[in-house]
Amino acid sequence: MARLPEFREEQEYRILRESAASYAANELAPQAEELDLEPAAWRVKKAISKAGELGMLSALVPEEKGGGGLDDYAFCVALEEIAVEEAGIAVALLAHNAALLPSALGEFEGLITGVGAESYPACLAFPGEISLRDGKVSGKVPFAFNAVDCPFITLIPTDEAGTRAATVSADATGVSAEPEAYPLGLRAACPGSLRLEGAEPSNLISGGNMLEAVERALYLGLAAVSVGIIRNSLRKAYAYARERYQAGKMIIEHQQMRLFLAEMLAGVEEGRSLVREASSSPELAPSMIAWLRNTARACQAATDGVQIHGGYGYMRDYGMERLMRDAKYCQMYPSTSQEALLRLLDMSETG
Amino acid sequence: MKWRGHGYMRDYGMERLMRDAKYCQMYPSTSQEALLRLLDMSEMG
Repeated sequence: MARLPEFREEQEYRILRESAASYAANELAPQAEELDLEPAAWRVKKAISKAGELGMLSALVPEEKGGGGLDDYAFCVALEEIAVEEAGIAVALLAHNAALLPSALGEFEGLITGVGAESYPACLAFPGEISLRDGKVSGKVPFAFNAVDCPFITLIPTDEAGTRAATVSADATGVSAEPEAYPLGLRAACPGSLRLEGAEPSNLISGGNMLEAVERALYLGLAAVSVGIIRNSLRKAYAYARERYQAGKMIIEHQQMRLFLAEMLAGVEEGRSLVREASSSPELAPSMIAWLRNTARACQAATDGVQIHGGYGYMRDYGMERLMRDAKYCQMYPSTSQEALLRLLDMSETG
Repeated sequence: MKWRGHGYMRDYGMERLMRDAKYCQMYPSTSQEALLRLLDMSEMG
């Protein structure tokens, strides 16, 4: 019988994929439930500390600036593998790296904040209403990842057309963070709201379109995280469909169950291709399209996974409900999918 | 939705696109057949 061809990747990506999968299986899988239920800052910090060995704590910062120097696709490969076990940790790492991105791209005096040890996970205060006046930042960010117990916050002032960014120490005067009391999903990414009142930045960074660079990283990264969620949904649903008997046969023998699983399988292949394609483009639109497709696929895969599990899909023990919650969040950050669709149309010549 | 009743009329050409597109989903196999075949091809089959 013909087999599906293996997803083609260069050796460097295959090695990284194996290393990231090994980290996720050994460090994250055993405590995935705790990271969802009790995502205390110390637990998250401990969980992601070993990701530094994969270069994930400064992945998008060039090596000459002291970073990991991964290319966009390599970063996505690692995020996908991590998200297979714990999507919240993958998003925490994504937000941290997006927070470092302006420093990696821009020009400023001094050292890049956050590349050193114990400087993670950094908070990316985006999107939000932030103003930069007289060298001080003020404003509100209703939703930000890594908002709790972060060492520093990266802001992109709204009134600077995305050409400037600022980093602010989390314990600076005028900075306050409020954790979300009951986030739906991605709880290990410690979401919360931020308020800044005349806070003094530790760094002001300028040069290039930082807003678009950060947006592209978030769309692309979440597209990769979504592939991880689809894979986890497929893995769990497949295993359950082979152990559950109904009317004298395994439920995987029912054609509708097989269609559910096949849709997930197609979603993994399509999702990886979209991420690969978007990684090679510096434009924002391909990343938005990959994000739109993959997050929708992830939501459907997780919902179908719950359906296959029947009543057990609602129970914490089987882990499917967590995937459904995590997947939904991906569809709403850094914008809603509807906002992204309208923006895509505006970007096109027909807009 | 945008085309409303006009979408059903030949004059606007939208109904032709719908007829053409639907056929693509059924040839050379139905999409359901293709999905089941994909699953069979995979190691999960």
